[in-house]
Amino acid sequence: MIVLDNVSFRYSNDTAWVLKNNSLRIDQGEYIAILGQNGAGKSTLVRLLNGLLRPTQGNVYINGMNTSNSSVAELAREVGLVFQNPDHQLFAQTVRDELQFSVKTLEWSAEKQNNAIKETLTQLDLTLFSDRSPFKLSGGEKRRTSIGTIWVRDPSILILDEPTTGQDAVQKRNLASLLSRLQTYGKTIFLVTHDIEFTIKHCPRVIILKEGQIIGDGPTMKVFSNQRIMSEACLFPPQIIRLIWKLQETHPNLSMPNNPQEFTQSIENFLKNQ
Amino acid sequence: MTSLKLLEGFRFLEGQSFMHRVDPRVKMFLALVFMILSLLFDTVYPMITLFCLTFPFIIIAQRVKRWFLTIKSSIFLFLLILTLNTIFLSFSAAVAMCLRLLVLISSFSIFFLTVHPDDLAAALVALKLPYSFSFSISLSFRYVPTLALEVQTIMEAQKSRGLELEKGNLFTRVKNFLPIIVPLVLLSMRRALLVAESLESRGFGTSEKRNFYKQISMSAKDWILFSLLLILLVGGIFIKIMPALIPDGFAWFFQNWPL
Ligand SMILES: Nc1ncnc2c1ncn2[C@@H]1O[C@H](COP(=O)(O)OP(=O)(O)OP(=O)(O)O)[C@@H](O)[C@H]1O
Ligand SMILES: [Mg+2]
Repeated sequence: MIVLDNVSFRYSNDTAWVLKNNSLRIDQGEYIAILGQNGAGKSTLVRLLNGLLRPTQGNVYINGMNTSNSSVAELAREVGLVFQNPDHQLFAQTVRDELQFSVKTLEWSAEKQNNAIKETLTQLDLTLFSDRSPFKLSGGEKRRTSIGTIWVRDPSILILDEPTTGQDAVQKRNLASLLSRLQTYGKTIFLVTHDIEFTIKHCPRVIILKEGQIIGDGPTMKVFSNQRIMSEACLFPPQIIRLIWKLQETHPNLSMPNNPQEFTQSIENFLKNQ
Repeated sequence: MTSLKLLEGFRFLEGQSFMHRVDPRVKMFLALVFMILSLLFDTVYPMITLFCLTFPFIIIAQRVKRWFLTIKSSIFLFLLILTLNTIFLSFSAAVAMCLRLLVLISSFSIFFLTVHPDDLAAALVALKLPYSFSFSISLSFRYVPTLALEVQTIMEAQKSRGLELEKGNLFTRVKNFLPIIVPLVLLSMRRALLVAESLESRGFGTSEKRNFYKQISMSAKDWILFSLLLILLVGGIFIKIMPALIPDGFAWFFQNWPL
């Protein structure tokens, strides 16, 4: 469970506040996305969750641990943070070594380590590359490897900073199914993203950040169909929502579906009633 | 954040002080003079003298705070030098060595704190160095903050997978730098290629003669400072090669403490 209690943050005493008075609660097993303009403070917020940054005011609790009193190494067991650029992370000779390095610090038995590595290679579809150099992989393969370096440590919370940027449609779909699979293992998935279509399709809950403040938090369709929040955050609502709005102009009793799956149903009902 | 703080004293910051307006060539000469003098002598009092001569420039440049950040984050290095030299040489040699480092840091700090990267290029060109050469030098300084930020991100990325940089003996610590250095070098190499391509596509090096946006020229105050520095340099060299010049009562000044 992630709890933010009145958290404010600034990088130093003489700079502006980057996060202002935010409270938030995310339960274990949630699949959640955070959106906001460039510079809104998303990456900063995420760094507060694994102790790389400590709140200037307020407290951050991860599974009951106060991050202000815990080391990054301790927190990294609970919170896995996958950085935006895999090139900031990869350094080893082979993909397998890369995973090995990540589990080395975990005081696991050799058997447990090997099992975790094998499992990660299979789950991330990396078995074929396990003895290849990470630097010779394609962009998508590199990203999978960098997710693997975190996943292999089996954290209960997995945070990904803009994982879909620069990925083609196939890679995005692979990533989506990967993350859904992880969620079925009971992991909390926390995405930082600019990808509205991806969010509406996969994340049941969304948080909107604007200039360091959470201005929207709730079920994705609800938040995305809130015109005030969307225009304040300079976000463009997804097509399906705009379509419903358009139809609502002439058919005021058409209701907004609660999720994309319900969308087809509502349109069918709508057409039947015509 | 230590990596960033270490570089604070070497990062240009816009300013209006006297030191900011001094010709970049003179500031380059200043750094060189103090470097040569600090390497020429190896005892405590001359080093203290040199430091007392460099420090006022930092005060005039109004950059004491920045300079102090650099000194503070290199305290480990100072302690290392102090310990090793005390063990292998003597305490007085160790103190002198620390002071030498202080003088070196301070004099180069004056230069980098007050010389804009563009002025650096202009100064090198004015010294008749080929433009491509001066351009690469100033370009590399331009990338120092970028590099510092990159080191920061890489460190964070590796810490997130359990790497503990502050733990372990000397050997593990050195080994721990591998996951930082490898990505840094690879990223830098990739960027160098990109920058080269981007420069070429903007026509860099197509014509022999080019003009400059910024012109630099020596004013009276620059010549005065230059002359003073020259006198200091020549004086220092004379004393070193002709110790006979030292007046009788002053020999102690150039000797080590009996420790
Ligand atoms: N290391 C730092 N030191 C000082 N200020 C910083 C630092 N990192 C970020 N900032 C500032 O904090 C603010 C929020 O930055 P942050 O990186 O969290 O935004 P973001 O929402 O992740 O943006 P993006 O979508 O571009 O990734 C920005 O104004 C930025 O300039
Ligand atoms: Mg970001």
